[in-house]
Amino acid sequence: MKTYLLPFLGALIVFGIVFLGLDFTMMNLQGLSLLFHS
Amino acid sequence: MQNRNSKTIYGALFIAVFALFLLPSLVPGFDASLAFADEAAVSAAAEAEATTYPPAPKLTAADYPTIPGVNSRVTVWLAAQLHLWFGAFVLAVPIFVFIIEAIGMATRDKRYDNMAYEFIKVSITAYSLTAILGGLLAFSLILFYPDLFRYLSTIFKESMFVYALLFFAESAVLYIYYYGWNWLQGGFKKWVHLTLGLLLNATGAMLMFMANSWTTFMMSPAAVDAAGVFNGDSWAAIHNFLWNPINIHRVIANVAYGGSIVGAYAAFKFLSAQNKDQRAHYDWMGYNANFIAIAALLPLPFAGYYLTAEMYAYSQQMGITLMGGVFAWIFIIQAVLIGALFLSANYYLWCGMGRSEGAHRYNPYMKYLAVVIVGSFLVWFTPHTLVLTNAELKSLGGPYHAILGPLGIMPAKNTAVNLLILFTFLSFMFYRRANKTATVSWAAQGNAVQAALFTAGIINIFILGVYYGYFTNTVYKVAASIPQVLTTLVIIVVSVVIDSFMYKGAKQVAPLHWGRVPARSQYALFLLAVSFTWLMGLMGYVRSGIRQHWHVTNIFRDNSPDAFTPGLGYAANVISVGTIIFMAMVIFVFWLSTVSGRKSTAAGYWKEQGA
Repeated sequence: MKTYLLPFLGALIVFGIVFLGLDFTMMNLQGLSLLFHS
Repeated sequence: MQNRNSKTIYGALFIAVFALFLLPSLVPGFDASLAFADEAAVSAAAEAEATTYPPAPKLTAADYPTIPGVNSRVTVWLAAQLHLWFGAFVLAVPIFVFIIEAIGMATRDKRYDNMAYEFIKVSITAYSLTAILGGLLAFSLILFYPDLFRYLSTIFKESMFVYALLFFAESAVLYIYYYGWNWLQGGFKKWVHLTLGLLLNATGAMLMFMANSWTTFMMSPAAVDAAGVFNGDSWAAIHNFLWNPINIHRVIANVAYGGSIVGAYAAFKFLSAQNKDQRAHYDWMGYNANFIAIAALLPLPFAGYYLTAEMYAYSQQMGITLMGGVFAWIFIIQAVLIGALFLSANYYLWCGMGRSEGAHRYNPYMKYLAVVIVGSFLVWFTPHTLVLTNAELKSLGGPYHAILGPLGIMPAKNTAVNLLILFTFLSFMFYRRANKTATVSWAAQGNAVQAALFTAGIINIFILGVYYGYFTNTVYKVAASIPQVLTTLVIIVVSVVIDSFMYKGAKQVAPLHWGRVPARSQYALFLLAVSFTWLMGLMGYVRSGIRQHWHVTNIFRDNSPDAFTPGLGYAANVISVGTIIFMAMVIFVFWLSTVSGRKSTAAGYWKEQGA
């Protein structure tokens, strides 16, 4: 559990935040928001 | 022998230096030092202003010369395509030969040096064929489309002249590089040799960039007014809208293509190997070639997407014709071939796992990779608008399938291709681990982190594809493809970094037995080369065909008898014939490299033997 599951979950949260940040930045750079507003 | 080689090399060196010094004096303003730069620019501008250029001619069918029994369009089509296939090959080989030679120098492993030398040897004959086909293309254009050639050569006269002269430099550098390989060994001489490799790449790239500008000018003309009158700005004509997108796409594609052709060479030599050592050597070569092809194949869809996006940005009409109109189904054929490329590249890697007993640990995972890759492939080639009869249209209730139709639009395909790329990369990572066990204390945590990286990334790719693809508008849909691509690139880069640290000082579980692969894996390499060739032919036709009835888009109308968009079946047949001709020529090139090493003893033939 300690050797695999905890590091997996921790890294999953970290990378999730990283990719969310990447999406936010790239959409903003193109003049768009992260969430669509019609 | 050494004396003869030295003379050839010195002669070639003289020509290269001569050509390189001659070039600046022929390009306006090229040789201007800072002090004279303004003067040269002013005089060039004055000269341009003084020169008046004619408008694009308005031609009729009678203005196009014909030769009985010869179809002008098909002749130019095939000559151009054959030239491009060989050109791509001979430009690609120096790129990875340079890298392989550098790896050899860094590791001092002579196998890399020998392999680099063998790759260049294969491409030597191909250089001649490239030039011959270029000559055939030039003659065909002059014979069958003289007004077009005259118009383009008026605008591009400087770059066409430089292009012709640059062949002196390229040939000279190539000959010194090849013939001087064994002479320029060790220490400083090896650095000189590597620099020649760099020079070869530089001249080759310049040649391609110049030729690219003529092609892209025909699609996105610049420095001309609506009547086609040139304003004299040669650089603006070269640096037209689609020039850099096609430069990027062709550089990456050339590497992938060149890797697949030398992979086919290695496969051919493997299957005809006489002993275990030869089989091991060509198996190793095939693996390296496949690695090069995959490494360049991974970013290639993005380069193609960028090129298409720029086509849309230049002309919506051109972009829609390309992927939403008459050429849309060619992209479905393209999707099938790309799927074949990914499947054969992965299949080759999976077969290669058998080289080491250590790979048995990873065998259970292969089927999951296969399921994802095949599933992505199916989505990748699902069409949107179907080709239907009226009765079929009626029974379907529209042009799109109710359930599969949504998979035919780009967000689904972008999602699919990102998965294809990621799982192909994963196949390679498994292969890389096959015969090793990590000895670092944090190996389990490292694996957990990599698994989390892939999981988070794949979820992100899906969310981007599904949310922006189906619940927003077109602007968001297209914009979301950028973070999708970047997610894939982040996963690949971070995973490589983690893995390289994790496997530092790794223990070898079982040795890699080079040569221990089934024969069918070599046919996967043949499939790679044939699919690539066919694919390039299809896409080359599309790129040219979207100009439709224009020689130069919106400027110079094509009024030749053959100025029609042929049916897809006809186009596919022409491309298939071209592919077969090319393959025959490539087999000839491979055969030549085989016979050059053969020696026959002609007992009693020579008078010296009788004495």
